[in-house]
Parts: sequence; C-alpha cells; structure tokens
Amino acid sequence: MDIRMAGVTKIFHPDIVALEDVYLNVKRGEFVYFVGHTGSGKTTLLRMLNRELSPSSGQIIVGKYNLRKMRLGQLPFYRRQVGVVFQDFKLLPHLNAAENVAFVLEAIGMPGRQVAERVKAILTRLDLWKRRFLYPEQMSGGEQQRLAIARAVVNMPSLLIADEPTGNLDMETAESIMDILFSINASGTTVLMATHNQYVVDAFRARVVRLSRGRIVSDEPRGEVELYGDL
Amino acid sequence: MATFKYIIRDTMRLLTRHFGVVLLTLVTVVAVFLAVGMSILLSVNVASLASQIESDLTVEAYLKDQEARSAVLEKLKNMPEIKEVRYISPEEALKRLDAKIGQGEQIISLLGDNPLPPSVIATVDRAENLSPIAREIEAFPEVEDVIYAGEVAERLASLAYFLNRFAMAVFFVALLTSLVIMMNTIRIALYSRREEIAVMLLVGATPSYVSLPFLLQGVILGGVGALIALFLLLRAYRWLIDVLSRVLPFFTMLDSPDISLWLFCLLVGGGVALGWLCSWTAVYKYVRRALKPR
Repeated sequence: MDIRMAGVTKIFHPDIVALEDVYLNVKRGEFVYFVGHTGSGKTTLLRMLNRELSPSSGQIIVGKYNLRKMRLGQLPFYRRQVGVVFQDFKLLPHLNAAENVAFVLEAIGMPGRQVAERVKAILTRLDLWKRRFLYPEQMSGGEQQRLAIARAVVNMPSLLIADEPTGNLDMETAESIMDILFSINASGTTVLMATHNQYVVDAFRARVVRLSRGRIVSDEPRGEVELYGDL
Repeated sequence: MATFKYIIRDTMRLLTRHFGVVLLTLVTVVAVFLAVGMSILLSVNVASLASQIESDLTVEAYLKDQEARSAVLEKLKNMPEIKEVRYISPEEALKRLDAKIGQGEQIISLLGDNPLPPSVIATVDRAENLSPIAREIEAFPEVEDVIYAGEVAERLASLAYFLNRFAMAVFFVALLTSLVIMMNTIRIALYSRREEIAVMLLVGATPSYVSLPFLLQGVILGGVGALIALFLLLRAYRWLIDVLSRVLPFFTMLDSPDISLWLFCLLVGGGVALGWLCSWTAVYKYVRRALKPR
C-alpha cells in the first residue's frame, strides 16, 4: 500500500506536540526505518498509521483509505490490511502460541480449516511450529517476538508496522528477526519499522527516516546514517 | 461457522472464568425473578378471587332467633329486587359447614351445642342492587348481621389494586437491581479481558464480533436465572395449591397450564431481554470507546 502523509501534526492534551508538520511518502513494497531518540515521535507516527491515534491536523492516506475521514465502521476492514508488531508484543497470556496467531484469523471470520492451514504455515516459516502449544510466558524473548510477527503477518497484510521489534534482543536473535521482516518485505508487503538499533540499520540497509522532536529531520533512501549523529 | 464456534466457545469461557461472580449474578437474577413471579401470582390470585366473589349475588342475613323467620321471609318476598329467598336452619347450616370443612361433629362435641344461628339467603337480580338491598336487610330489627359478597369483593378489589401496584413496584425495584448487578458482572468480564479486546480490535475484529460473546453471556445469565426462578416458583405454587385445598377447601387458587405458560413467557422473556439490555449497554460503550482513535 502506498502511504502519503501531508502536514500531519499531533498534539496531545493539553499542548504536547508529538508530531509537527510531517510530510512523508512511502511506496508500495518499501522498507522504511524510523529512527530517533525516545520521544521523537516514531511510535506516534506508526500508531497513526494503524489509526490508534488520529492526527490533530493534516492528511494521512494509506492505499484507498483517507484515515482522517475514515468512518469507525470502516476501521476493522482497514486494520485487516495492516499487521502490527507491538513494542510490548501484546500476546494474550491465556492462549498458546498457535491460538495467539489463530484468533486473528478467527476474528475476521475465516473458516476453521483455512485458519489451521495458515497458522501451520506461518509458525513453520518462523520456526515456531514445534513450540505451538507453549504459552507466551513459557517462551524466550526472541520466540515471543517471532510469535508477535507471526500474528502480524498471518493475515498477509499489505502493510506491516513494527515498533522496536529488535528491542531487548541479543544480536543473533535481532538478526533472525530482521531476516524474517525482510523476507516478508520481499513478498511485496510494505514494512515500516521504528528502531533504536544502530547495528540493525547498518546491517540491513533500507530507507531511513529520522525524526527529532516530532519533525522529520532527514530521509535517506539507503540509509548510511548514524541514528543520533547530528541531533 | 467459525465465527459462531468462536462466539459459543468464548461465551463459555466468559461464564466459567469468573465463576464466583457469575454464580452470584445468577443467584441474584433467580431471587429477583422469584420476587417478581411471586408478586404477580399473588396479585392475579387476589384479582381472580375478587371477581369470583363479585359474581355471587347473594346476601346472607343472620337472624336473632328462629321466631324471626316468618317475618323476615315475608319482608324479603315483598322486595321486587329479590329473586329468591331460602331459609337456612341452624341444623342445615351445620351440615353445610361440615360439607365444607368436615368438622361439624367436632364443633358440637367441643361446644356442646350447635352455635350456628338461623339465616336466610336472598338472591338479588342485579349486582348493583346487592349493596342497597344488603343495607336494607341489615336495618331489619330481626336481623343480627348481614354478610354479602359485594362487601368482601370490594375489599378484595381494593386489595388487588394495591397488590397490582405492589407487584409493579417489586418489578421495577427487581429490574433495577438485576440491571445494576448484571451490568457490573459484564463490566468485570470486560475489564478482565480489556487487553484481549484491545488486541482484537487492533487486528481488525468488528465491534459486533467482539461484543457477541458478552451479549450472549448476559442473555444466558438472564434466561437461565429466570428459568430457575420459574421452576422454583411453579413447584412452590403447586405445593401451596395442594396445602390450601386441604386447609382452606373453600379457597380456590388459579390453577391452569395457561398460568405456567404465561409466567414462562413473562419471566424467561424478561430475563433474556434484561440480559441482552444489560450486556449491550455495558459492551457497546466500551467497545466503541476502545475502537475510537484518540
């Protein structure tokens, strides 16, 4: 899905400016890193693209959807085209790994047999099939992260949003997560990823958009950037 | 089909996850519908008794002594509103009592003599003549006391009116109580699953998909609670009919399958509607708020 943000500003009550006058275009199938200090506006920007947050002003157009004008009734159908890997995973503790992935498909009314096939395919792809009966608390950080990715992509979204997917992971696990994200991107999914991880940005080259105090301060097509270099 | 299976599975999970709270709610719903059902049954029985008595157009005048018989009968026969007059001797009165409660001989052995006075039973032509004629007979010097259905019916009618109002009050208090308790139960269920609901909405579940298990939970709690109350109520009512038919044989309570059917529709229908309303009120607001971008 193509993404177009024009003059987007987000002000939290009473007067905290989280994003200010952001212009951004992302083409379908691109991989984009969002980097910047904590509080620079990365997460706010990503949450607006999933329409958890609404802009105070400006336009956000994702594919055929104008997020500012979208009616509440359309929102579930838009979100089915967007996969999200949350910073805190948001895995459901009372469901096992397979159920955590399956419920996304059940929630959109997919038939049971198709759900089982899709769950098996994605868990196998992310090397979690043997761990499918484990509950999130029984899994390592890397496994939980992979499970969160599995849940985000099981519905084959056109857009994948990942907020710090390698945060708190060791280098080896972070690499495996990045391999997965790039393979998903290779299949045509637009991937937007917020990160603090300099190693990841250096090792897995892609477009880098740097934010500072709610503004885009640089946009490198194939980023050889230092994340906090000039800030 | 998958959605249907999910909703059933999830509803069962909701009902079992906070079993203590669910059980407490169920007990409350049962108590509420028992109170409603009891007040309804009491009210309809009193109303039916009042109308039974009202249809009885006789005045019974108790005489001071047997010598007054011919004078009173003569006066009554001359009144155009009276269709029929019958004299009841103390012996016949005892037989009638014995036929009703079967303890006539015991009364005589206890008191040593027949305590029942002679009386005349006069049947009037129309209901509106009942009270004036009864008052006229009461004024006869030979008459000790007068009993007529109209007076009792009037009292019962006013009692029925009061009971109707009482039943309505019970109904509204019960409705309010169960509304508050059921809404809180649903809210607890919602609260305990807030993260799950948030994630479901974030991955594209529709509000109705998220809400249906909660709505079904409310319907099941309301419906099952009302069914249990109905079962207990009908058992207790049957028992009461049996007891009263032995102890107070002249008092007939309403007893027909229509009552059970009527109560079923009223209580179970009310329970289901109430459950749906409570859940919908609690869930709709919550889910819409959770879905709305900030």
